[in-house]
Amino acid sequence: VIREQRSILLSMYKQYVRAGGPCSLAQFLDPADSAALRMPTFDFRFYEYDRLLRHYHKLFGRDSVLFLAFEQFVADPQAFASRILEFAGRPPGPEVLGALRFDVRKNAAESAPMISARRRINQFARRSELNPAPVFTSRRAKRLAKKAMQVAERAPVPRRMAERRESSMRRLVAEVVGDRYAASNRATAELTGIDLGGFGWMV
Amino acid sequence: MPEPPPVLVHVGYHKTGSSWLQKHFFSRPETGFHYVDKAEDDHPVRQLVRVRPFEFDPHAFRARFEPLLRPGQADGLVPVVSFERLAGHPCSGGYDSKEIANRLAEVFPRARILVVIREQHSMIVSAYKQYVDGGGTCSLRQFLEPPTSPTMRVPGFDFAHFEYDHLLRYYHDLFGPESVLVLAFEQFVLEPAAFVTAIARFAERSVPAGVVDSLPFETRQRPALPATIVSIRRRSNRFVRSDLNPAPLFEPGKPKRLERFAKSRMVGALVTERRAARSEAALRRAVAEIVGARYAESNRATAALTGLDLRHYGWTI
Repeated sequence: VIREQRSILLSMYKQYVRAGGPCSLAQFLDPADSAALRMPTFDFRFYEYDRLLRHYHKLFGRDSVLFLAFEQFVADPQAFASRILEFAGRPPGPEVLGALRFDVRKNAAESAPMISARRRINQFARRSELNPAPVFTSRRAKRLAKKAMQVAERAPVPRRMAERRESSMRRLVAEVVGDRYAASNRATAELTGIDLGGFGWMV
Repeated sequence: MPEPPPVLVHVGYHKTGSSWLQKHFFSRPETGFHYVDKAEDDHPVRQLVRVRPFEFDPHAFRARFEPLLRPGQADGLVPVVSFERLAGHPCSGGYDSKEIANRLAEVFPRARILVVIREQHSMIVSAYKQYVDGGGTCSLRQFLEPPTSPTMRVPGFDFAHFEYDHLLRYYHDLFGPESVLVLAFEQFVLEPAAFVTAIARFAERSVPAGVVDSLPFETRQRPALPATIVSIRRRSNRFVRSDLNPAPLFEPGKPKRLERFAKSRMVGALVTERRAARSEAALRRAVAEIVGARYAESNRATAALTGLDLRHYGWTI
């Protein structure tokens, strides 16, 4: 299941911070490099879906690969689930589709101000694979970090401020991404037969 | 027209005298070799590691290497592609070492492969120092025991990277055992002349004794940081952005100045010799404790594969 790049990038960044990442959005999208090529990092090309899609076609054959867009799920979840079941050779009855909880959201993304607070806390006291050496590593620091996070979660954030921060993040992603995915998206649309332009993708 | 001599691909590992070999041995035409310099960031040997799997095209790489190999071959020299990163990187646990081996086999199917390995305790001390020198902020324990997660986002240090038998066996499979020469770094330290002579013999070159004698074996190309400096540097690294510290606490206006200060002799001069020796010993002890005998079995397999008497060089067998 693929998703429009600007939207997935922002969502991915939020997930990165939730998992312990200390980078700002700008740092995340423009990772520090070295000639020694020590660590793999974020790479825009990861979201050029046509490459992976073509590779799966080669490995398994076109008929054995189903690519769907996340936006199809959002627009018509029943049809989306139906496609998967049909692809797996189990065409669903209406009672199956009717029983699915399309209203439940799993792993809902956090607000932009919350992400900003979390990444600062990560930087100081949350050890993770994304931040193996926080400034403080004692148990006390961990406890304090947890408390700080709870305070941040309860703190009332004015809606306007939250919206401003959110749109500033979206703007940054849009600026950085530009139209770099257009060619790849056209190839993906052709390979999958999905009208990606219709779902707001850059094509 | 006789076929040009096969390329010698020197794949590392890190901290096994690669820079010395590149600068003082492979770069001197009288040794019979022609070193393919890799100074630029977009050099094909770096791209061979960097390029994403879907973008790797062996034909394109062969075409890019060809003009770099030709001058040496025209003079009857063995071209040498040498980059210690080809064996993987300790900071990311050598996660791509197999992929790189496959790429090498596609680009240089007739190559001869040189691998230099090193006893793991000493290797890990050296790898940690190099990590701090490169901008890392982890303590030794944090470096050796990176946090993991079920989502497997980023590869970290992995002890298995130094179980050499896996990669050696893989190179044997790809190129044939007769096309792979494995030497121990300890051989280089103890018998440097014999070490370079073995490389020349493997590449069917004969280096005159006078040339071997003239090599600057006493020169250390990239001496490791002293343990005391490592401890200072890893703290000052917090203020310098790098691939090993992507989100510094804050970046001072002149991070280079801070870096220069941390690297300066002045800092070193503040530390007494006794203190330095104590720190060094403590670092080595800590590594020995963490590593224990975990490599014994792999080392036995490596010794069997290579015919090297690793025990003689102090390896755990």
